[in-house]
Amino acid sequence: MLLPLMLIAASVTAKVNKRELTLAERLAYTIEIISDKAIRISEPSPPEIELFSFVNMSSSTVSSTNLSGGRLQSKHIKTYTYYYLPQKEGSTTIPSQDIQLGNKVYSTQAIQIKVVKSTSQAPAQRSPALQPGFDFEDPDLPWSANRIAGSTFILAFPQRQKVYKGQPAVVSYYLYTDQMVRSFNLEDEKDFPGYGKSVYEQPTMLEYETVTHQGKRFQRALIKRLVLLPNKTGELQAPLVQGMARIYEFGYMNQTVSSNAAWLEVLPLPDENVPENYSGAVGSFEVSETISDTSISLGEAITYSLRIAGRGNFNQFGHPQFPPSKAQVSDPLAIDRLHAGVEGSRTLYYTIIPSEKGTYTLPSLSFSWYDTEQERYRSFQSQEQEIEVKAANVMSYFSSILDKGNPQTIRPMLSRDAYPDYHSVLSKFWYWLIVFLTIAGSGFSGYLAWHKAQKRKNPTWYAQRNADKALKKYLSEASMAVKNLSMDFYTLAENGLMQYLSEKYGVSKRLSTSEKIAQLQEKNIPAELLEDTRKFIEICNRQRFSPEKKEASLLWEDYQLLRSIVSAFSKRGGKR
Amino acid sequence: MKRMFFLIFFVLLCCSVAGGSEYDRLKALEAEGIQNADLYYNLGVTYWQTGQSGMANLYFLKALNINSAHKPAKENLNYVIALSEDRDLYPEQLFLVRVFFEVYDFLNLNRMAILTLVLLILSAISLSWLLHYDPHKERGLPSLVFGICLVLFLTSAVFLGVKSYRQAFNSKAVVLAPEAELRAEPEAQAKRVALVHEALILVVEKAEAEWSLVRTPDGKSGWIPNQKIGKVLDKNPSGKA
Repeated sequence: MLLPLMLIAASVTAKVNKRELTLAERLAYTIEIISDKAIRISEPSPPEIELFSFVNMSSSTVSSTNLSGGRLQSKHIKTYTYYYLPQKEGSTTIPSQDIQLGNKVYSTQAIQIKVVKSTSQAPAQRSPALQPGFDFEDPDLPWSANRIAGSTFILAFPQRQKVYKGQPAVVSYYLYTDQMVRSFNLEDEKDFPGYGKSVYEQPTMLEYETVTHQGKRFQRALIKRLVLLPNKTGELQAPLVQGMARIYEFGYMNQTVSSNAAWLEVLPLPDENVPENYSGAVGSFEVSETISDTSISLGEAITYSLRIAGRGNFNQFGHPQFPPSKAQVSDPLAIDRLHAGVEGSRTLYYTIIPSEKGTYTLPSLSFSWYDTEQERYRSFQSQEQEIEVKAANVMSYFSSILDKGNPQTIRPMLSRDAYPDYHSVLSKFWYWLIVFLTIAGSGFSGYLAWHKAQKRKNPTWYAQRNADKALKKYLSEASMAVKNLSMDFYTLAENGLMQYLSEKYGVSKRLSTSEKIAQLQEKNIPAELLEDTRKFIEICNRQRFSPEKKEASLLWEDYQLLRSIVSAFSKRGGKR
Repeated sequence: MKRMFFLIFFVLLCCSVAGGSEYDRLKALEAEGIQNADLYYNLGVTYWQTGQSGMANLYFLKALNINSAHKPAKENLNYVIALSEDRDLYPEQLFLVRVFFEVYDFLNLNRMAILTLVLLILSAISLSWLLHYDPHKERGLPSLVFGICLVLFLTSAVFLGVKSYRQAFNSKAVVLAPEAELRAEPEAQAKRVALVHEALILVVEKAEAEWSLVRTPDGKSGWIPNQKIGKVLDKNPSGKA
């Protein structure tokens, strides 16, 4: 079997455990490197052999030093062994392998191999035939006979033998082995009636610890922990866990293993002293409460939170509710930080909106549970809280700007007796009336301011302008009276003329006609014009009190006189 | 045991009927054409309670369209958005921007209209004060007051116009289907632009008979079938309760 190739400072040989083997046997192909210097090479890749499939490999190193003839001689042996399984009958050749040592390449010789049918005398797969003189019987090797005859099994350990109905019970499943179990593939467990379950822990890799079981040493690794929530009393069988263990025994092989039967006794909850509001909670809990604020504005919401922490059947009890009060209270929002649904905390958030200002008393909230540690019912009763509700103001609307986390839950519906149809203020008549009046008022104010400014800047011009306007107005009325042959012409004409002269020359209206004429004389007005004016006023006074109706032609003459007087005054311009 | 079962069944039936009747009452009011922010808000809460987050958001938006200062609707809208699948699509706003929008929302259309009217009156009074001010005195103060009032009035008037326009032509819509795909073209076989989920708020940029061109909060535009969205100004969005 030994095929020496080169014997210089190093030698590389290849050998097999058998040249002819059956389908039930394994092939061991070994490359042995002997050198007088330390061998530092990378692991040769397993050769591809037709009819065989590669299973595994191992390597070993042996070094020795001898003093011979006064010289120190070293010997280093490196062995690489590759294991194959035959796939079908036939003959094949293991190809030559090239091994590089330093700068030199050594080649092994090709080896002929034959695979024949299995015979009744052929050794079993779990006990591979070993070649005489070959060191496969080394008791330290993992595939030694005592290991092949080992055992692998699963044991289930309930944390408690007795639990109350609803109380979480943890069952741990351990893989026990004295073999080389490299991996374990869990399958669905077999369930039995009487419980709900969830996975408490499932490691991703096997972490072994050494334990003694029935006087024998084993390696064990946790493969799964289940939480059972019993929903009926009496005897309860835990689920059976099963799976496939991948065992390394001169190659890998699979073995199906299943857990043993484990039983729990489920006790009923006591019937005495059950709190009124008990909703099915079982476990060991700590309950606490917080409230977001005790002083708010009307319309704002406060958040009341109830924290239930510990271990118990979190998913099997109802949430406590506040009794009715003068506030809208939302359904609680539950935020869970739970492990396997049984361990951790649940916080219930209630959004509360008081409906009127003043002092709002937040009613007490109670939560009851059966404490499995103290074996009695317990209750948490929150304290009544006084909330100061102030009148709403503008700033209360903006209270959420800084509080980005608000709200914790949906706000409840608003209670409204009626829903009036929405109409924008912009569609209201009064709105646009106010807008119009404001704009009109501004225009009027501007008009007045303009007059004021004109009067201030050019008083003469302003006075004349006013006089002209007044004259125009009165002349207009007087001409209408003439057209109608009305005697009112004289009254209107005199008033209009006096008004005109008063405004144009600043003559007081309270004076008599002669006094006004006297004042006008001081204004450097021609005597002829003054005389005409005086004469016209006298006509007016005379005709006003005359019972006789004047003829149309005379009325028209007087009107023409008035026009000539006004025209003469107008041409003079305004002088005060 | 049977009695207990029937009792529980009866109580549940009563509760469901009571809940249904409230929804029916609210829907009947809406069908009458009543527009009321509280009505829309309560419908939104009802839809939320029946698990329709898209319809809930749509009705909260309807409430806010009428009254942008409706705080419960705003809070519930934010709450539903925070729980929605596409919550990350909404851009984070800077603090000052948030403050601005809070103030802008607080001044709903009616408040803005009243504020504008008050500022108009103040502007008119200050103008009158300025016009009739003693010409021999320094006009700095009345000019400043009038200037401030005028600027405030014009700003308010612009915002009033914008608000009024947006209320009348609100282009927001909400995804009602559990999920919908935005397409590059208004065709079912067109290239997919994005996948959106229920309750996402969109802006409708263009509407056709079967499809609408919409924009997501993160700026993506695409076509979506009209049947998968509800528009804020739609009279009869398809919802079930």
